[in-house]
Amino acid sequence: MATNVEETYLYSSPTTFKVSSKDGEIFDIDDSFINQSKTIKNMLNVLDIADNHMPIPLQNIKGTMLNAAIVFCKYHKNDLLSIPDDEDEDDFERDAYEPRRSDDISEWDKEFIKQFTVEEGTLFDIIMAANYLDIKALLAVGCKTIANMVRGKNSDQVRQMFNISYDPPGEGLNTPRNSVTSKESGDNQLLTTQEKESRCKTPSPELMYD
Amino acid sequence: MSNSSPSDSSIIIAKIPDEVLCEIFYRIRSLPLLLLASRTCRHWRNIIFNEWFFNNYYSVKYRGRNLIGWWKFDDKNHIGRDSSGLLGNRYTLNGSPQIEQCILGCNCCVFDGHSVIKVPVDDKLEYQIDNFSISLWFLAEDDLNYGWKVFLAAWDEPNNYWMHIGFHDRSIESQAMISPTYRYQFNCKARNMIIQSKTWYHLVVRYSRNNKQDIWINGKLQTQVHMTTPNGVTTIWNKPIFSSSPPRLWWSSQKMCMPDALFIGAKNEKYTYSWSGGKLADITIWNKLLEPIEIRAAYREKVSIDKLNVGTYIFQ
Repeated sequence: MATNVEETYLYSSPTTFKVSSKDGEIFDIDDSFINQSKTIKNMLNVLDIADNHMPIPLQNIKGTMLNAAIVFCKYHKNDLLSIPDDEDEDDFERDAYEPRRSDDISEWDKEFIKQFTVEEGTLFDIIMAANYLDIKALLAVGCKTIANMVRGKNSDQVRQMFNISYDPPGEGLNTPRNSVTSKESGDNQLLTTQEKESRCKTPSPELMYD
Repeated sequence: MSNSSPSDSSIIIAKIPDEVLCEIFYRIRSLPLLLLASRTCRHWRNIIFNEWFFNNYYSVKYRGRNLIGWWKFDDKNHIGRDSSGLLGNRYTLNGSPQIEQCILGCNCCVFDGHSVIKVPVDDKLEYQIDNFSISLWFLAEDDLNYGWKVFLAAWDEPNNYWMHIGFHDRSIESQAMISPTYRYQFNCKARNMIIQSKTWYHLVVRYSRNNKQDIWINGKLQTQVHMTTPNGVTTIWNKPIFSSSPPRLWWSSQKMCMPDALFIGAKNEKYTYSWSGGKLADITIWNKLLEPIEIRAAYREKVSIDKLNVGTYIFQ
């Protein structure tokens, strides 16, 4: 595979590098990772990294997440061979990163993502890692997993699932006058942290707008 | 990941940046489910209820999985090319339809009465569906008074029955077939809307085996036919023997007929019901029922679907 995709990034050999996580773990990465992580690819193109023995610091990512991302990229290393490197950000065919049909996730991806949970916060960790590393396929799997969890649940259930504070109805965005079609809806500001906290204790009936 | 505790520095959803939340929300479909999710908190509502979000939510980029056919006629060397990414250049071209610019700012295909584009779909599972929508723009240069003039069809012997759309005596008519064995044909005709020649119209036909078939012209619902019972059937080709009307259970088990090939510009390769001077633009096939808001926005904005901004339509 390396020979096929080597030309997709600009830097020259070597094709394996070391990266370090924020908790000091060091990992070897190869083409499978570099080609799927736009962040790393850009780093290697911009930075003059001649010495592949010095790990590239990834201060935003924990070792467990970095390791998981590497495993994910190794499994999906052949998925991206047909996707041009100079893709247009606005090109709808960018959606080729995602399974062609349905909101389903492949069996392997389902098993992979199962190790991350909302309760431990690790599902958000891996999504944030995918976002930081700009690994679109992993980000898509994480986002779809969350979307599938949210889909069809009422707001109480979603708030409970994600431990989200309740905003009482009748104020701010919840007022009927700030409806979908209201131009003013975009002008509403979020509550301050203090306001949010003071309203967390409010009971949460399903009286919000709609 | 079990070694991390809940009190660890793990990220909670409140710390997820808005652009990532958007990526999650784009994947919550359909619209009612998104609206339900938007009620979770005002932060989520604030992200969702704005022009920018809805423009993206309805963009082709995020609906690619629903778009199974798209003929935008942007390549003169490949007139029948499907731009959805599913069929590509799988087509045969009979005759010499022409390409020219149309009011949408994109190209349209001009049929001369002896042209048709055939697109085989018999091996495409994406097309073996009974819940779908077709959207297109059309204009007729010639006299529309008599007979059929077909826009798009999978409607021919021996087993190519799925849908059939075109003019029929100055009105738009659509047909669908349920039960490959008995063939219950449901016609849906927008009689109240007389089509004028030399005028562009936007047309959407939605088919749902377990609900109805309906026709939208220029953003307005014109007519609908329920297919939940056999009562609204137009023709039964091979009538089954029942002492009275078919039992409900029997009817509910009858599937919609499926397509072998699509024909654009005529009913079949023999140019049956083809039209001279007919123009078609931005033909799309979706594996979902288009929402009324999408249909109205498409008509009002008068652009091809890749330039459609549903959010702008909603908020402005």
